[in-house]
Order: sequence, then C-alpha cells, then structure tokens
Amino acid sequence: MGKLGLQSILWRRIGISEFRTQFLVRLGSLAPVLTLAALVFFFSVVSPSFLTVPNLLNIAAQISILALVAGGMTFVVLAGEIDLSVANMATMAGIIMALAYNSDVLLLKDNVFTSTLVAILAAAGIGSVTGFVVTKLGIPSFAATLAAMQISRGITLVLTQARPIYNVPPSLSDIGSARVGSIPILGLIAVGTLVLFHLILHYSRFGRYIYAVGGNRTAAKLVGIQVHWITFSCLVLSAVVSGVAGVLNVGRLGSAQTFGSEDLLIDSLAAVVIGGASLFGGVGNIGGTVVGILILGVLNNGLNQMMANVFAKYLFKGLILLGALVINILSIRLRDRAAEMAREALFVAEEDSACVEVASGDGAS
Amino acid sequence: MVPETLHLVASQGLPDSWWLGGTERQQLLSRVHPFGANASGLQAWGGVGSPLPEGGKRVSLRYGLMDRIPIIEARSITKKFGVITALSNVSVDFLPAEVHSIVGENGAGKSTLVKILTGYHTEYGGELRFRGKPVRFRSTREAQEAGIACVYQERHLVPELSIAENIFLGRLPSNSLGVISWKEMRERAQQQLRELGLHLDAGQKVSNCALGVRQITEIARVLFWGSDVIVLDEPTGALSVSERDELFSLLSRLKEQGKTIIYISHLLEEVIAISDRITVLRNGRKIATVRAGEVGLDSLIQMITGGELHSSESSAKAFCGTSDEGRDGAVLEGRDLSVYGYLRGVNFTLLRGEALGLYGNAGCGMHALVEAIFGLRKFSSGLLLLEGKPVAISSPAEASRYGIGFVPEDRSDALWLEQSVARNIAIRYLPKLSRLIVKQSHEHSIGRQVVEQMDVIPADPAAPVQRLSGGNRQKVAVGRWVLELPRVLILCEPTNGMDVGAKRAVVEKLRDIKRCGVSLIIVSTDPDVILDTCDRALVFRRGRVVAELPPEDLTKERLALYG
Repeated sequence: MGKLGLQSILWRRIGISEFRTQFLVRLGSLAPVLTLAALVFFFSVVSPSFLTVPNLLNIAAQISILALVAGGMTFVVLAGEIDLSVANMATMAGIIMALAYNSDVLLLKDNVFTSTLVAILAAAGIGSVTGFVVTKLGIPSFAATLAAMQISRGITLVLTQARPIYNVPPSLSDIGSARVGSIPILGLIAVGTLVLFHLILHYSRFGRYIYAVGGNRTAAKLVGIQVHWITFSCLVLSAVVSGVAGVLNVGRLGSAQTFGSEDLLIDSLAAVVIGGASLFGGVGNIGGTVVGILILGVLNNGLNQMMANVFAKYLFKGLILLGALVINILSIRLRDRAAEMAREALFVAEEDSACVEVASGDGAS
Repeated sequence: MVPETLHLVASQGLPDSWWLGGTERQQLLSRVHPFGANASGLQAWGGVGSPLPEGGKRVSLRYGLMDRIPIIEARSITKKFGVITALSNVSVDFLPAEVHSIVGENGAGKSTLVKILTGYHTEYGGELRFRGKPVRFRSTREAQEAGIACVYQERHLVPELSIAENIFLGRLPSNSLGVISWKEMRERAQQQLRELGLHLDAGQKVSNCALGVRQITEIARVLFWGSDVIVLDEPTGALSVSERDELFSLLSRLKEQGKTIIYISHLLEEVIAISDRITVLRNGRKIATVRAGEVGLDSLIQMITGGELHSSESSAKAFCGTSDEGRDGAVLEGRDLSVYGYLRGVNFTLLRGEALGLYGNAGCGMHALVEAIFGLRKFSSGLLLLEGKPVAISSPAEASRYGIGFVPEDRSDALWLEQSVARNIAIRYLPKLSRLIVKQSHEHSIGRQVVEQMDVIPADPAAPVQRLSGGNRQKVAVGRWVLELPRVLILCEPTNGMDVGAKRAVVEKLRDIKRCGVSLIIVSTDPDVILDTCDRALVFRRGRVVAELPPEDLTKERLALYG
C-alpha cells in the first residue's frame, strides 16, 4: 500500500515538472520555426511577388547548394567539431571537375562521371588528411580545417590562376537548370540528401554514435565507441558533401568559378546554429538545419525582392544568428532548471512517502 | 587573538569547565572576577604553569556558546519550488568560532538552506540577519563580499592555471603600476598551502593535481578571500584520510580565529567529531539543533531518518569476504606492470568473483593502473594476462571486447545527462542490437530491464539522466554493464558524494554483480568504501604496491596505517 502511495505521489509531482520541461524544450526548438513564419509573413506583406509559386521554387533552387553543404556541416557540428573548409572545398571540387573534363587525360577527357569522381576524391583526400590530423594528432578541428580551407583555396587558384572555366559538361548544366514539372532538380537532390542524412542521424548506429561523441566524448570513449573513427568519418563526409555541392554548383552556374561561393561557409554554419544545434556538439538535428536553411533562403530572397541594400542582408543574417544563439542558450538553461525541479520533486516525494509508510507502520503496531 | 581557554584554579567540587560569555579577551577577563567571586569557590586565577594552591583544582573557562552573539540568524526561512516546499519555517543561528554542521538526508533541505545563506537563492520567505542586521543577499557575490563564502561540491577551478593563480583568481596582487607580482602571489599562495598543512608546489598546474588537492586549493581560495563564514559542502568526499585530518585540524585553527564554519556532510562520525553544534533537517523542517558532545551516532541517525533506526554499519561486513562460490583461478593478472611516470613494477592477481580494492591517496597510481588496464593509457612495461593469456589492450573499445568494464570516478564522464536513461544504457549494446538501424523500442526495453534490475528511481527509462539523483545516476552508470556481464568491472570511487541510503543501495548492487561471478576492481581513497565493498585490498603509495591486505587483515585500522 505504501508502494502505491509512493507511485502516485511521484507521478503527480513529476507530472507537473514533466509538462513544464516539455514546454520549455519545445520552446527552444519552436523558435526557429516561428522566426521562419514571421519572415515569410513579413516579406509576403511588403512584397506582393514574394509568396508566389515561381518565387518559392526560385528560393528552392537558390538554397539547394547551401542545403547540401549545411547537411554535411550538421554531422560535423553534432560530433562536436567544426569544418571551416566547406566553401573553398566546394569551389575547388568544381574547378578540378572542370579541369579534368577539359584535360587530355584518357578516361577523364569529356567524361562528366570520371571528372566528377576525381573532384570528389580530391575533396575526400583533403578531408581525410584533416580528419587524420584532428583525430590522431589531436589538433582542434577549428585549426586543422582552417588549414584545409587555405589549402583548397590555394589549389584552386594555382590550378586556374584565378580564371574561371566556362567549358563545363552540358549534362551538368542541364541538371543545374532542369526542372521536374516545375520543381528544380537541384532542389530534389538536396531534399533527397537531407532526408537520407536525417535517417542516418536518427535511426542508424552511426548516427547514435555521432550524438554520443558530440554529447560527451569521455563517456563515448568509455563505452567503447571508436571516437576517432566517428570524428574522422564526419569530417570526410562533410568534405565529400562539399565536393558534390561544388560540382552541382558548376551545373547551376553553367561555369566553374574561382570566387563567389565564400558565403557558403558562414551560411552553412549559420543554418546549423539557427536550427538549434549546439556548437559544443551532441545537440541538433537535420530538421533544425532545414529550418535554418529556409530562414537564410527566405531572408536572401526577400531582401532582394524588397530591393534592399545588398549589404544589409549581412546585418539581418547576423542579427538572426545572434538571436538564435541567445535562444539556444536560454532554452538549455531552462531545460537544466526544469530538470533540477523534477529532481527536487522526487526527493520531496520520496520523503513524503517515507513519512506515510512510517505513520502507517506506527498505526499497525 | 583570543585564547579559547583560560585556566583558573577553583576549589574542589566545581565542574571542570565553565561556560562564559563574551567574544573579546577584555570581556572575558572582566567577567572572570565577578563570576568567580559570585559563583563561589573560584579562588584565584593564574597562567597555565602557575602552581596549584592547596585544595584547589584547575578548571577551564570557555566561551559559552549560548552567550555569544550569532553572526548569522535565520528566522522562519521558507523556500518553495513551485508546489514543492523545500524549506518550511526553519530558524537557525550560527555563532562566531563554531563549527556548525547541518545534516539530513538528500532533499531534506540542507543545500537549499545553504544556498539561501550564500545568496544563491534570492527568493524566500523569512528573515536573514547577518551581524545583527537584517540582510537579503541578491547574489553570491554580495554574500561573499559580506564575508560568507561557500566551497561547493562541484569544483570551480581553472584547470590550466597554477594552484597559486587559482587561489588568487580575480584578486591578483599587483603593484602600483598594475603589474601582477607573480613572485608575491606565488609566495603567499605557498604560505597559504603551508597553513593548510600541504607540501605542494603552488606553481603546479591544477590539471596535474589529484582531486583531493583541487578541493583543498578551493578551500584555500575561500580562506584567502577573508571570509568569516565558510560553508563546506561535503568537503571530505574526495579526500584521503591524511588529507581529511589536515582539513580538520585546519578547521579547528580557523575556529580559534573566530571563524564560523558551516559544515555539510553525510559522514555522521565526522560530523560528530568536528562539530560544536549540529542542526538536523528532515523534509525541509528543522528537527533540532544539538550540541555535538551530547548526541550519539544512533540518536543522530534516528533524528535524521525520523525513527527508522538502521545503523549504516550493521550490514557492512556481512556479505563481504564470506562468499567464496565460483572462485576458481585468476581472471586478470598483472606482472611487473609500469606506467611511465605513474606506476612502477606492480604485480596483482584478480580472482573470479572477487572484489579487489585498490587503496591509497589520490595520485598514487591506482588510477593509472586501471586506466591502463582499460586501454586509456599505455603500460610502459610488464605483462597483463587475461585468463592466463597475455593481452595488449590499446583502447577502451578493445577492452570492452575483452569483457572489461569501466565506471569512472566522475559520473558526468560516464553519462549523457540530457539523454534518456534507456539511451545511456543501450549505447553500449548498439553493436549487438543492430547492424545498421537502431530500433527505439529495443533501446527502451533494454533500458527498462536495467532500470528494474538496478532499482533506478524514477523507474522510467525515458527520463533524462539529468533528473536523477547522484545515487541513481551511478546505478545507471553501473547498470550499463550488467545486461551482459563483463569478466572484470572496474569502478572508481563508486559511492562518491552519495548519502547513506544511496551508498548502501549501490554497494548492494555491486555485491549482486559480484555473486554472478564478475570480478570487481574498486579504486578508492576512502577506507570505508574499500571495507564495504572489497574482499581484498592492495595499498598503493607513490606508484607502488606497499601492502596487500587479505580478508582477515582488511580493517579500518590497517588501511589507516597506510593512508
């Protein structure tokens, strides 16, 4: 009977805190969605052409490259690392693909598949070196990918003398501009990739390990997870995804440019963080990143529609990023507070029930 | 400085001590005469060495605790968290020059009370008076500036700075040009440490220090702030016996200097030994404030638990040392093992189903040994034999494949606090659970199984570990290894910072695990933990094994001998 009393008191007491916790945690993940809704509402009011099907599809095409890179970045950030090389890696991959395509090497010449493969292998190669340096030598990924960022930029500029390459595979250009029905293929590729990433992160063992490593490295190590391997995989994955994005970007632009994709780095990081991921690792998900990407896409497109000063968009992006960071930290604090309250309730409940048991025991004797 | 006792000569038949009021020497002296004259029989007073007149005897005159003016008075303090009342109408006063302990079970309101005194909680009912004046601290900083400082269980040190820098953190000494005088800082810190009875290099980086040393550094820092009221929250949890004795002698010196020490501990023997007065809280209510000299361990436990008298010692040795079943041969053997810089030439044998204690001061090599066994470090020489075969373990992943489990000293190193209990447990079994896809229902059922086996409260595998108490977190950390029992389970300080009840529960579970044939290696600087859990113990000092204590020699006295 005492046991029953304990249970009911426990659940009643915790029930209250449970509700609060859930609410607070939701508030944290709801904030990006609310921001997005507010932006959409704002732009559709000030610019009549904003909320039209062609414009929305246009946004989808604009953000698909960013979406890929941010997807890769999500893995890295979840593992508690950072990849500063994504933008330059993408540019480099595009250039290498174009150079291989235009080269006289057998197999590569005029072959879009092998050229793309070479470009992605190059990205994977640099990613592996970075991964090795980070995991085996223990250099922080911030520093190691900073080096990789300069190296990939250097390779791009040395190979091209900073000149863009205009002869690119027509099939690639087709992909870049083609639409299925009215939906851009690039958008479909991005959606497909992000869905795949989501499935990996949420349902696979690899995904669990990424969260585990990012959330608590020591604990991950102690339960026998090969932390180095997970970190390495995430860095290589991000490099490869950046490479693919770079090649697709060549298709979108119809030429291999040596400049102009620098914003990819900041935007992809911003998308991940705005989406609620913690830069310390272990917290975040693809859904959040998607919302982050959409916010950036809507912001870019909407400001252009308003014919606002091009440079003002950085200001807005910065403010939204700052807001996201503040909300993230607040929601973490609120969650910790709610957990404390739940624990306190538990103590009190235990003691209450102890009293009840003692009292009933006294009555019996 | 005021001497605590004066020696008076009184005629026979008087009690040996007199309780007197007053905090200043002058007051004390002025009271001696009238008191002596009126209270009869007090003839004369002299120094310690003066000859005793005929028919007289020496009595001590001490400050009367009750006559002193309290430095802190808490009046009818009430604190609520939502619908939960953590403290209800609690009134306590704290006097200068006393060690005042607050005891009670987890959740009795000790921490809440202390957090109100130190300005952490700012919303509460009732009144707080400090030095006679009503105060309401708005932050811990304000309380610190007034002279109330707290040494919390969690350690607030910057690991990459030296001990000296940590002590002076935020208050670095500088000359008129604003240049920090490192030399002065170092010397003053060194002196501070000497007063703490520690022979440590103040220039040493904190990250290189043992947990015990870190704790003492933190106490040194608070002392350096010149606080008059010092709150110590479970200060001895991480200390070895000798470090603890140093701490206690320091506390009594501080008391002589007129400081008030508010002491929170689960270790009731300690509390009785060092306190002047003890306040017992239960369910957020004050049960009593008693003089430490007038209360026994049993009655104190009775007050704390509210009648259920169960001495923590009763079951201590019953399960241990007797169960011999299934002990056939060595599971793990070490021959001449060394870890460069930490451990030198250690031999040991771990039998099946036995619990081997590794005892010694922090930094004596026990941790290096178990970490190397688990693949977190490398042995620089020697041979490790698992069931008779030599093994080289280079990573924790490999160690767990060999069937070696590890529960670290710091529970936050073992757990993902914001993740559910089920996930925390299932993460170890993912390779077995799935090739590629993890099913949440599998995780959940694994979690439920362990929660039931280990009696985790709340019994909800979906609850985030963050919401569990220390004891229950440890059950989760240990529970991770029980579904598929390892051959060897290594535990560092398995009951660190737990109250009596939680400790007993964890110890019980360890015994159950042992009975299933698992060999335990338990590393602790606390002799009680070794006595409660181990069959046999190795005593470490400076990276070597200095003694092996078989079951019959495993006593507190023997361990203390080496501590």
